[in-house]
Amino acid sequence: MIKTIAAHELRLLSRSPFAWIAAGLTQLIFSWLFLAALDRFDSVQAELAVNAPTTGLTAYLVVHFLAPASIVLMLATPLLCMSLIAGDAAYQRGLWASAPVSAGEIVGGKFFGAVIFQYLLLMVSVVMVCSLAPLTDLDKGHLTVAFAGLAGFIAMATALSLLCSSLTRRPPLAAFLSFAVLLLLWLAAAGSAGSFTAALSPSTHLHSFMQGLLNSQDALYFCCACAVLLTLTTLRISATCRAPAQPA
Amino acid sequence: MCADTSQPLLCANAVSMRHGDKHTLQSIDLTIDTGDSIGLLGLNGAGKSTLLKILSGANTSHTGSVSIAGLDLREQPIAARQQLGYAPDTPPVYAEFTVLEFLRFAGKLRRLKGKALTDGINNALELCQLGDVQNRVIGNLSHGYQQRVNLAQAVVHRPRLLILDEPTNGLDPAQLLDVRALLQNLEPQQATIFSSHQLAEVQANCKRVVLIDAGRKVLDLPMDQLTDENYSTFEIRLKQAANTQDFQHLPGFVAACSVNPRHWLLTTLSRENPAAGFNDTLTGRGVELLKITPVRNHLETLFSLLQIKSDKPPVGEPT
Repeated sequence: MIKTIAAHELRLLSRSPFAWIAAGLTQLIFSWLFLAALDRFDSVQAELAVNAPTTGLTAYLVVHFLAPASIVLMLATPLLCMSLIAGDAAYQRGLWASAPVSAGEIVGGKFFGAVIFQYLLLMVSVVMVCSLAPLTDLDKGHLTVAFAGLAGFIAMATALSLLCSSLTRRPPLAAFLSFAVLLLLWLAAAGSAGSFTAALSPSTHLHSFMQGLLNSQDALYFCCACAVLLTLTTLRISATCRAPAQPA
Repeated sequence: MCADTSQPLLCANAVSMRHGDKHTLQSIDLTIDTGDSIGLLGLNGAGKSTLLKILSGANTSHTGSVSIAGLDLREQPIAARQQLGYAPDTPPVYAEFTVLEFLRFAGKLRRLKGKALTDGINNALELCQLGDVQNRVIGNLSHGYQQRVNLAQAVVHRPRLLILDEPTNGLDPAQLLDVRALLQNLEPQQATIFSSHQLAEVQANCKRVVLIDAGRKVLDLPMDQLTDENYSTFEIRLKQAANTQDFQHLPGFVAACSVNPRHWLLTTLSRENPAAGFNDTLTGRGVELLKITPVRNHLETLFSLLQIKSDKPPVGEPT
């Protein structure tokens, strides 16, 4: 059932003009970041060779392309996911609630559908970076880990956006709410290293991925964050069904 | 978990719901057997849609119990919902999908696969006469066709119980006839409950009528008792407040329906004016009969009386 719902969400997103606009703009920014990073690397290459000889193109791309991309995703994911529940008219009108489907299946299906859509967008970035492979020697391990970090961040942001989408019937409010929470969590990393707030922040955990370090603690953070947020969404959906209906 | 075919198809016991301080539904009992078709009537805000949402499992905030084919909607929601099809008053469709794509999704949502899914879709397309528009985008269809798509999604898995919330809402006369034909073409092992404002629709399609007023069930009668010449209905006005028990011993008593405690509609088996018999029996229970009037169309009269009651605040005196 999760597969059916995920395929349905993917189809819905692929037919939504808004999703295409959001995806197109995201890709435009990604492309601009990528080309700007390449251009800048070309001009600072000689300087880097003197001051930071270990910094190659891969490390430079990670810092100037993939790291800023995660900030773009912080805005793009809430926009792409705001309608998952809040804007689903058929869901609001009782099609799903009267069908033999559990709240867990609904949440799982919607989550995977939205995540797959965004991973397809991320693949375009992977292709952009890979297009350099014939021209230069890229650190594939470093890039793989960095993209894995981005994938984890997308999954977490999607789970959060899904939760926010279940809290309201107004998609723009859901988008604003999830962006605000993501920004707050991101800024929480500004606290002292090792503090509780820093540990809660996705940017702390994304940092090691961007350095090319696959740390099990950081991977576990993204997994746990997704699990907690999806559980909360499931509970919210079950509770909505138990809430008194508005009189006709 | 298999459905128990020996149980009533739907059994609702003491279903109540509050919304803040307001009772949206008050202790409603309802039983539907295989082959039944029930018309749920009531004024706007009477609680029809809320009751249908509860019966379909779309809302579980009520007290009391609802079971579908012996499966409790709270205890075994997945198995119970498998037995029913629900068409809400506003079509729950995806405007960007074609009819076929939407029905395929609705079928899969009801756990249909392979041949069962294909057969279910073909059956729904045929039943709702959607074959000609199956490849058209739903958003481009008229309201009448969207309402048909709504009905098709509810019957795609051939449910045993069909719950329709105002299925004829916004349809033109030709489309009304189509929906009427659809309801009459349902398989004999299915049962239907549908709400409507239109008395004629209920009279044409239903074997039983249930009337709801302010969240209370005020009438539950077989349609033939309303239309058969052997039954008569009388509007009575009393000096004192009465309850249903006071009428149980009236000659030929069948059913009583309260407009207010001093104003009732009584259905009896007697064709003659039973004023004398009524007066004697009621006086024995300490209730004085002020006026008795034969009623030609029970439903219409009751509906208009309820309308008057809802428009005017209660004054405590007989109206």
